[in-house]
Amino acid sequence: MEQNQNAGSLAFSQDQSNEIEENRSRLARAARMARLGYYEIVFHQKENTYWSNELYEIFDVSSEAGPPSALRLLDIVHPEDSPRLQAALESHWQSLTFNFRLLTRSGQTRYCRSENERIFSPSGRVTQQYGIVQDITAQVEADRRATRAEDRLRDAIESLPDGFVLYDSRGKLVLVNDTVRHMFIGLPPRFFRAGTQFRTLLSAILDHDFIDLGVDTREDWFRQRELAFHNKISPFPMRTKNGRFYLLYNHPTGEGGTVIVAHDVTELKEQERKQIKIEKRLEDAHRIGRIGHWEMDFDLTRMTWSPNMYVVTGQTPHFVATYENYLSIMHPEDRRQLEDIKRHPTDHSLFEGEWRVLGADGAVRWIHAQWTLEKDPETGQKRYFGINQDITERKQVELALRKSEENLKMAQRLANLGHFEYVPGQDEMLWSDQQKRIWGLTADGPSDLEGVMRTIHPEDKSTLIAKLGERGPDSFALDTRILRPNGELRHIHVEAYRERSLQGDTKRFFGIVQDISETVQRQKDLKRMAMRNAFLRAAIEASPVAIAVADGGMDNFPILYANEAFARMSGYEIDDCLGQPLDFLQGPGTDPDSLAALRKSFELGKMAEVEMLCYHQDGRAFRNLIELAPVYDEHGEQIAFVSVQKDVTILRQQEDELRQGQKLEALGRLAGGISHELSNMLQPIMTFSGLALRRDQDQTTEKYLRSIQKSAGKARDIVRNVLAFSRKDAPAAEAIFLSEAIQEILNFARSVLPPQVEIVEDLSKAPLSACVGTTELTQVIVNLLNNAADAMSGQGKITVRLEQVTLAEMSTRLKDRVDLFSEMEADFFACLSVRDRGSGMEEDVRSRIFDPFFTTKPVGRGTGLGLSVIYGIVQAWGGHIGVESACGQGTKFDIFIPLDPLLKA
Amino acid sequence: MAKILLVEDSELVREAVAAILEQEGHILTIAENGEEGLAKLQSTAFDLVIADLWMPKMDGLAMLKKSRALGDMPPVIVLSGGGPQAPLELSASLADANGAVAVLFKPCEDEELLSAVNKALL
Repeated sequence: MEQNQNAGSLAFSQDQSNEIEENRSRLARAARMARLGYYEIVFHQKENTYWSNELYEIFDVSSEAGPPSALRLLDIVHPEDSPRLQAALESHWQSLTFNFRLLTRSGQTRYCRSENERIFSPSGRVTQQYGIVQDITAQVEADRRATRAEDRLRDAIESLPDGFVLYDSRGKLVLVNDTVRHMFIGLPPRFFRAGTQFRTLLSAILDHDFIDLGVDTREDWFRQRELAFHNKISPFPMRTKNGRFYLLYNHPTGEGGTVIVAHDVTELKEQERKQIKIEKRLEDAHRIGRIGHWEMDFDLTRMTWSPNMYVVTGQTPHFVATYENYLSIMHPEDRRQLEDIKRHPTDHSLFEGEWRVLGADGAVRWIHAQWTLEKDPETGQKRYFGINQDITERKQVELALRKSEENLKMAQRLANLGHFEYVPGQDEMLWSDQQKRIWGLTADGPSDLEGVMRTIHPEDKSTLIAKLGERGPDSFALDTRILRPNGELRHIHVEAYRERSLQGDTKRFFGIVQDISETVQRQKDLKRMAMRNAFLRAAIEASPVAIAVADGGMDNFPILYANEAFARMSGYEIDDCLGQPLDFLQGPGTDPDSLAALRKSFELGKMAEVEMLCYHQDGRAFRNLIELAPVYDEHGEQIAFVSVQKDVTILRQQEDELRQGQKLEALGRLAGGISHELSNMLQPIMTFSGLALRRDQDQTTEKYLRSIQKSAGKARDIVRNVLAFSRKDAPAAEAIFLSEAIQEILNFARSVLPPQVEIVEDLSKAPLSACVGTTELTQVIVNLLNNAADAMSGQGKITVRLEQVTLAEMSTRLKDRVDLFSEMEADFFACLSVRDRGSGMEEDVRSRIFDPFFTTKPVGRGTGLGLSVIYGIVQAWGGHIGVESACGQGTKFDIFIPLDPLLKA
Repeated sequence: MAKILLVEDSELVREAVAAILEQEGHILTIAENGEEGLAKLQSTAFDLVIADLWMPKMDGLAMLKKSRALGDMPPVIVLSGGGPQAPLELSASLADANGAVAVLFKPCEDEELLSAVNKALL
């Protein structure tokens, strides 16, 4: 514009025209130097265009024809720019600046810049347009060159493997390279835009969780990085969450800015870590392998130990490592090894030794040492370097191994284990010492198979030969018998393995032989013992005597074993008996004293024999004779009680009966003798009192005489009964038919008994015959009927029944008293039952009714001999008497009379 | 009135039996045992013999057997006292077997004896 004004004032003063001309020429020079052209167009009736010379030059057109037309101009403009230029020129503008390119006639592209202005008339018409065009090609090309260099630099920075960030002096971001973008991939691009503050970016990468803070807090980390940035502290570490490790270098730039280079040292770090790990491993290995190392000057002055040396040698850290001190902890016997070597050092030879050292704890350690004489790589001086390894354990194992080999040999001998080798091709048998011993040989055994076979039991040879044959198995085990030279037979277990050649032929046999004679014998013994045990068990099972074994170690002595007889006796199943206390059969009626005796023998572990009332499973009481003995184990410890139990109820009854019989017999003899004499004495008493009565008497005398007579009569009755009772064996009576005889007796009895007594008969019609005397039978029946009538106070029904019963039925009726009966017993019996509905008897009465002179009747009513007499008679018949009585319900007598076997048939 | 031989070792019994029979007018000869009785039977004829069974020297049965063997026997009434060796039943049956017309057990009542005697003398 200034130029335009200067140009506009050219026409004003002629005086100043020189100065103006001078100025003009200066301006033209400047315009030429700046390659600046000027134009002006005045629209006044006709278009009037002015170009400066420079403009012609810029457009590379001749000035001779004057300024070219607009069309011509557009033709010179670069075709890519001409439409934009044309559009710009044609538009309605007042001031316009644009760049465009020219294509010169010489084909040159010229860059131009143009600034234009227009002046409008009040009506809005363009009256004048002027402007400049400057050739800026040189400038553009210089720019271009500069840009290219920057681009290359930028490219270089972009392709840097290190992160690169440039900040200007105000801490604003200028550029970051791709590496940085990759470091924080995912971070919004705006944070990498130019102008971003350092701390903004720092916050952003923290906020977006890129950083592995390690032990730092977020604030510390931020502060430290910021401080490093401002104070240009380098290098500074940074770890990212993806496991990369960077070192950041802060460099100042010439303009007061900062370049940060982030160098990725992850791999380096990793290698370093690995290296450390390897070293650590090595150290561990040394520690685990109990290896320590040491160095020593050649002149033995200075010695240094690795920490593990102290461990290996068992020294405290206070141990002063010197050659002399090392010698002092070595076992005196072993020191020589080290001294010898010291005297003859040879370079680079590897020395080795094993010795014992004494640890500070007093324990002896075995050391394996290796050392060498070498040159120090740094000083070039000779020195010793070596290692010590603690091999105590290995030594111990070696010792143990040696010992175990010895043990193995010993074990082989003890186990009677020998081994052999047989090579069929050479027919050669190799004997181990132990095998010889087994064979009872002092020298070598036969070396050929045939010879060996001669030692084998003839019955076992074929099996063995078959196994050893070419078709035999590759390995076999068998038991065989051998004959020793002294003729002794031994049982041998053989296990052999066959080794075949590639062709399949037998190369050799290897095997072991074991003398199992003792085992075989023991097995036989065991088998025998087992059989004996089984036999014993079966015998105990089958024992007719009840046997129960109780655990002696428990308080209530639970039953561990009970045999069948015990089950039978008790009525319980064997399984139900097991676990029950041994006294489980006892009940309310058991005598406490015998129970106490039993318990005492338990406690004292003594044998005992106790009889007590026990109870059958069905509630029936029985007398149990218990014999008890403690059972001891092989150590003499009392472990159990064995009890032998027997139901002696019947035995006791038999004994009672026997006692009764004996009592009666003795009494009978006595009574018989007395009564014979009494009979004689009674005769005159009766006779003379009778004669006296026949004389005339006063009433008192007569009364006295009658009393005498009456008493004599009673005495006679007693004597007669005693005599009947004391009778000896009656002569064998002839067999009579019982029904008929009884019928007659009953008829007779009816006339004797009180009239209110009714006899109901139920007599079998069968012809039951028995060898019994009628008198005796009468005596028995009448006696029973009398008793029955008395029991009913002289009135009521008496049932008399006669039936045939078998021995078994009788046994049942007599309450299982089966062993009362001898084998002489008849098969069949007549059972004569007399039953009343009278007062019945108490048990204590019932048990004594057969005792002589026992009576419940008022004095003078009974002799007390009636039932004794019946008892004697029935016994003489070979029969039995059963009594059932219940107080208030009556009594039933069962008289069992053996039937005449001849007639029965 | 009959001649009766009483063979009885017990004096008490002899007196009592004699008292009963003499009251009835019978004539009694006494023998104290079987031997004596047998002698009297052979020397004298009796209408009836009343004999005890068990007596010293010779018992009643032996006497009966021997006397029977020697010749006719008057009827015999056995008057037994029984005893350990002579149960009543046995005595009775033995007496029966040896031809006793009646067997009486001591002590017997007057009527018992007299009726047996009268019956035997019929």
